[in-house]
Amino acid sequence: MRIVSPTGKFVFATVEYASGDWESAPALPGNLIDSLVRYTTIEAEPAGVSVRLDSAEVFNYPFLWLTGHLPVRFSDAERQNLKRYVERGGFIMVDDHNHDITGIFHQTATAEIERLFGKMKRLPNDHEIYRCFFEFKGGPPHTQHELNGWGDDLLHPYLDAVLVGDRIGLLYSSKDYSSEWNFHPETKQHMQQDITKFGVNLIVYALTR
Amino acid sequence: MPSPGSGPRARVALEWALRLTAFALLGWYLVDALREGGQERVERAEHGALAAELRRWSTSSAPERVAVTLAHSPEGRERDWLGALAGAGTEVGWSGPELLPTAVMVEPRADPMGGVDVSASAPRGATVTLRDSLGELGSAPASEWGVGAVLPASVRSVNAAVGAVTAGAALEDSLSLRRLMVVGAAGWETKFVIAALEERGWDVDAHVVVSPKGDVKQGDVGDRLDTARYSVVLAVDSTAARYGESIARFVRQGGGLVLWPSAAGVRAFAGVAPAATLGERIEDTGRVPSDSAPREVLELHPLTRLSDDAEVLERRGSAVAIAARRVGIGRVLQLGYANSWRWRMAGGTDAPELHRQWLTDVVGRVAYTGRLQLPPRPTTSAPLVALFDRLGMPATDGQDPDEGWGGEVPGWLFFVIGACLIAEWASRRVRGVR
Amino acid sequence: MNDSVMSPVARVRRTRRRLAAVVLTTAVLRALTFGVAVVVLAAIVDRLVPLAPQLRVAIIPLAALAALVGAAIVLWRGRALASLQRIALWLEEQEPSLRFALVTAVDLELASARESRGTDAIPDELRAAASAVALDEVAGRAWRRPFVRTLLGAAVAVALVIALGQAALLRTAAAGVIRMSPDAASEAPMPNRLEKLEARVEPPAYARLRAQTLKDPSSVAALPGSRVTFAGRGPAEGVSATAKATSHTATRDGSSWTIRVAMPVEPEVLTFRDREYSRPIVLEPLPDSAPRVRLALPARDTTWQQVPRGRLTIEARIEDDYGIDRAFFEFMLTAGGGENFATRTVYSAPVRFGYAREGVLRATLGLDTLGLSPGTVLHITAIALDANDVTGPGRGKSETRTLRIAEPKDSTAIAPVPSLPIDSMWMSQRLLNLRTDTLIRDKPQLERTAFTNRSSGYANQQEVLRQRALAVVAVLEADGVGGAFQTETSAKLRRAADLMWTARMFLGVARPDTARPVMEEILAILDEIRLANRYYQRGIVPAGLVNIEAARLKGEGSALVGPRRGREPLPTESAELARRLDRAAALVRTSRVAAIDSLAHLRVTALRTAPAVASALERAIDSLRAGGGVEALGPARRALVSRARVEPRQSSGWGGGSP
Repeated sequence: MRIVSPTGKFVFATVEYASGDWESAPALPGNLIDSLVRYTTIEAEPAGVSVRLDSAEVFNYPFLWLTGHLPVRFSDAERQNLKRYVERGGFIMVDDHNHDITGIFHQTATAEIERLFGKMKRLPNDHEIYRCFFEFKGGPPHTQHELNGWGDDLLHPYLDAVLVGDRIGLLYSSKDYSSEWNFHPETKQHMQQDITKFGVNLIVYALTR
Repeated sequence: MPSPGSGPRARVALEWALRLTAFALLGWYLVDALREGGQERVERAEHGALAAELRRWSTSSAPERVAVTLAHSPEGRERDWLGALAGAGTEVGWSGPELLPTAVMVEPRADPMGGVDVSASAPRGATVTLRDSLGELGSAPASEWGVGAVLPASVRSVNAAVGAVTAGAALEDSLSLRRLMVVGAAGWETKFVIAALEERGWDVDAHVVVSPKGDVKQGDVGDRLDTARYSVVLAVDSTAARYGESIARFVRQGGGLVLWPSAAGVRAFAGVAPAATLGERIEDTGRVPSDSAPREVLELHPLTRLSDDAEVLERRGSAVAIAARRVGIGRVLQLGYANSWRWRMAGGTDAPELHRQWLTDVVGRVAYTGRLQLPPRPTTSAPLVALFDRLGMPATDGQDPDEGWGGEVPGWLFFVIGACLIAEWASRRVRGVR
Repeated sequence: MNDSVMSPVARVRRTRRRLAAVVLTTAVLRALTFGVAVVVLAAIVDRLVPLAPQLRVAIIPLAALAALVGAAIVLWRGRALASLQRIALWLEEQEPSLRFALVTAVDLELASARESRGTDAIPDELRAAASAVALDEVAGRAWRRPFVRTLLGAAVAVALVIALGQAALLRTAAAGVIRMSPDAASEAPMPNRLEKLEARVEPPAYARLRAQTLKDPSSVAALPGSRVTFAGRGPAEGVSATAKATSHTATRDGSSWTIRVAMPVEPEVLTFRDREYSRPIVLEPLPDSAPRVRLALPARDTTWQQVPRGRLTIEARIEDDYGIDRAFFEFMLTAGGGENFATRTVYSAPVRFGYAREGVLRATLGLDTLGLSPGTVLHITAIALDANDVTGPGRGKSETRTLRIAEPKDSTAIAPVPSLPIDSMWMSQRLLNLRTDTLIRDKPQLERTAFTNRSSGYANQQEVLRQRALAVVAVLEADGVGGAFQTETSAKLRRAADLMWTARMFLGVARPDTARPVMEEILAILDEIRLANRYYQRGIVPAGLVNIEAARLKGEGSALVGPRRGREPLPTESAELARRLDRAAALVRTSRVAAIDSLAHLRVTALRTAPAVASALERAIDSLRAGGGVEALGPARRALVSRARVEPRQSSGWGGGSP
């Protein structure tokens, strides 16, 4: 089993799971890696990897991104690994690529998460993750999809989390950051504001907490 | 036919013979008793009868000298009793051809969860069994350095039994732990080192280097780096250089320092690190760290060019993985493992707890702590030593004199004397002589 | 009537009547005096030397007997009243001046009466002589003094009763005849009614289990909702049981008391009380697991290159510990692409299993009716519910099979792989590897025999896996016409089987440390063989390489990294359990009852977090109740401190702590 980063650099890992379209945000890893190195001195691998949730290799990547549109139905091995992963100190971001709390991804993913960890907790908007690098005073920043009424046509002012002690082990978003940050890398230079800053907070939080 | 005068003469001769025999035996006994009175009588006892003999010697017998043959170091009560007997004027000699040296020591662990380190010495190969008031805690054969044990906080006193010998020790003091300071760049090793130590109960101040725009700081890190506030500084990588001189000074003042491979190159640490250089990196095998040998698979930077006073604490094959040394009144421990976090994340069932324990062990080996006295408990941590201390050197062969009859009249002697005298009297009476 | 006109017999009769009244009264008074005297005497003696309960029980009967005797004496002495002649003689004795005139007159009159001659047979001077004395006066002189004495005696007895007071007399009264005062009751204590308890456990109906009776338990394990009836000997009054905030009062059941409770969902301690006695019993709810459901068909995820037609057989195997109620399939059909997807969820009709403990759920799915098209994804899950109507029903779900139909634009080649039990082999090997690790770690604490036996057991398990691997190899290499050819997968699996042989050999000779690296290699091969296309990837993921050097610290904007607090230490349940165990051990030496109570509560905590410790605590409680000492807690403590490391020292040591 190859360890992608023998030098101990940060590696952005996307979770492969059996039941859904896990690869639906292919440009997101590169965009977040780019933002990370723009603002911090954190050593990072230049490309992301994908790793199977039911494999032992998943434990070599303490930061994971999970997204999709389709139903989420974990196998026993995936479930076992996810529970262990979160309890041991890993950080996994689960983002609903549909931006739809009535949609099948949200319903099935939250059911799977609750089955493993119980009901998620609503993260207060003054939580450490909103100020661990950049400051987000109002809580999680809204996405263009939200502001344009995509999906469930709601602005979700909170994120939900599975806490291990007071550490976030799993962060759940209905805000569709997977669409927000899945732009072509060339697009970034034309943006007036860097919309990926919250992604930097996520990675810094995972690396320091 | 006997001659007329021969009968009475023979009878008289017999009577004289009986008389002389009786007196001779009496005389023999008197001479022997007098001789023995000039020498002291020795009472002997084997180990099995020691308890009963001690009672008798202290009450009805009151001997001048006793000689005790011990099968093993006696119980504290018996040892002290022998000592009291000696103090009361009885000369106590002892010998024990096969006394096993056994000793045990209980030390508090530098661990927020408490616990004790037990060290028991015993002859190599002897099975040492550790027990406390609730029963057996475990056993192991002694190596040339004895047996070691890490026991939880609920154990305060321990007995180490080797055969019939039991040594006991109790915790005499507890430790007052200070804070830890962790310095490192934002990364998995820094993150999981802080996490593991905090989960274990340590108070951690941290400086995690993130960016020129801002670093993550926890606690009043760097304000005052001294042993009043900190027990150990953990330098995870070269970002610790910003505190380099302060850390070196802290160590010389008695503090502890743990160095990761990436921190070994910091110039300020050159004078304190156990290893001057690192060997060629041995890559992580990528395998799952097993519970039995978790660090076998991790990335390793072998420690090379060790200082003369450095001690190797762990090897992996021929490579030195962990080394330590004393610097002034402080201590420095250097790790060759770069990514222990992988053990915690990818290891076996107990990996997170074992990783926490291991890191606490590492920190505990160099931690500066205060000591708080606990109420003393009566124990005998080294029974053989205590025996020597109390009763002196053992007796060698041939020192005990011939004890004769021991001051008692044997029954047969009295009978023979009496029979002779009665026979002599009867003979005279039969002859008609008064 | 004037004495002078009354016949002698009549006069004697009249005197007899009055004497009889006196005798009866005297008898009553004498009986009262004797009976009360016995009680008073017993009360006086009891004040000086407390009488035993057995003696107290006899006081009343003795007093009654004494009263009877006293009355009998008087009545016996008064038996002469039956004969008129004897009364006349008695009167003659009292009044000698009569000179037997009265008795003679009475005799003559009685004889005349017999001969029917009337009173004329009595001579006048005799009659006159007999009438000259007032017989009542004579009688009165005779009975007055004794009667007064008897009366005085009775009065003294009553006075003594009043002087001693009710309490002293009640103390000497027999139980059951006169209600005992509290002082008297305490002298004859009721035994402990909490000893020799019985517990009858009636499980809930859905489990279809028989009721059972436990004798003198220290804990009762049963399904939540079970009815547990505790019974003990003795009256019910004063017996109660408390658990958390709920209190139960005992009810009478013949000569026993009973308390009925329902088994709760969480473990708790039910404390029984009888006066100063108490007894804790742990109520231990047994888990009712949700059904275990395994989707046998389809055996694995599939991706079809073309839209499939026909019928798809679906089969699930279900097991439950107490009985399956019903099961059904869930079908989720998702169609769409890009950012637009729509999902339809349909359930098959539930199939009832009549509370069987295992069963097979089958269905066939008409693929033609689903409206499948390229890009559609079908998720199939089997769901089963058990019969638990107390806390459930428990709901078990199988893994989900994902069946996809590829789109033409998908550029990743998908090769369907035959159904192979590689996943289960991989998981089995992984579990075996972890167990071997534990064995290696525990080696210093294990007896040689136990270590060898465990290692041998693992060798057998490895052999079972090897046989399974070889069976799969045979399937892969069969070409259908009796020959065999090697595939890439079968070659890897053969290599794995060879390594399994090696590992099994080392495990069999108790060398798990040598076997371990080989077992790791086996796991790596199995991992590699597992299906490549289980994780279906549409399209090509761009490489997305970032130019780190060019981008480093080029970002604008300021960060505001605030200070943060350290995290709290992990709760150390085992440390807390160990501390509570130590406190209980200290209590054993001073108060066994308190120690047992403390251990019962500790067991309830341990049931949630440390089942092995809970089992050891149950044995410890039983041992203490049977009179065992503090060493009974040894196994519980060993279960708590199983990580105590006792081993030969590997060096001279470089201990911690300041010099």
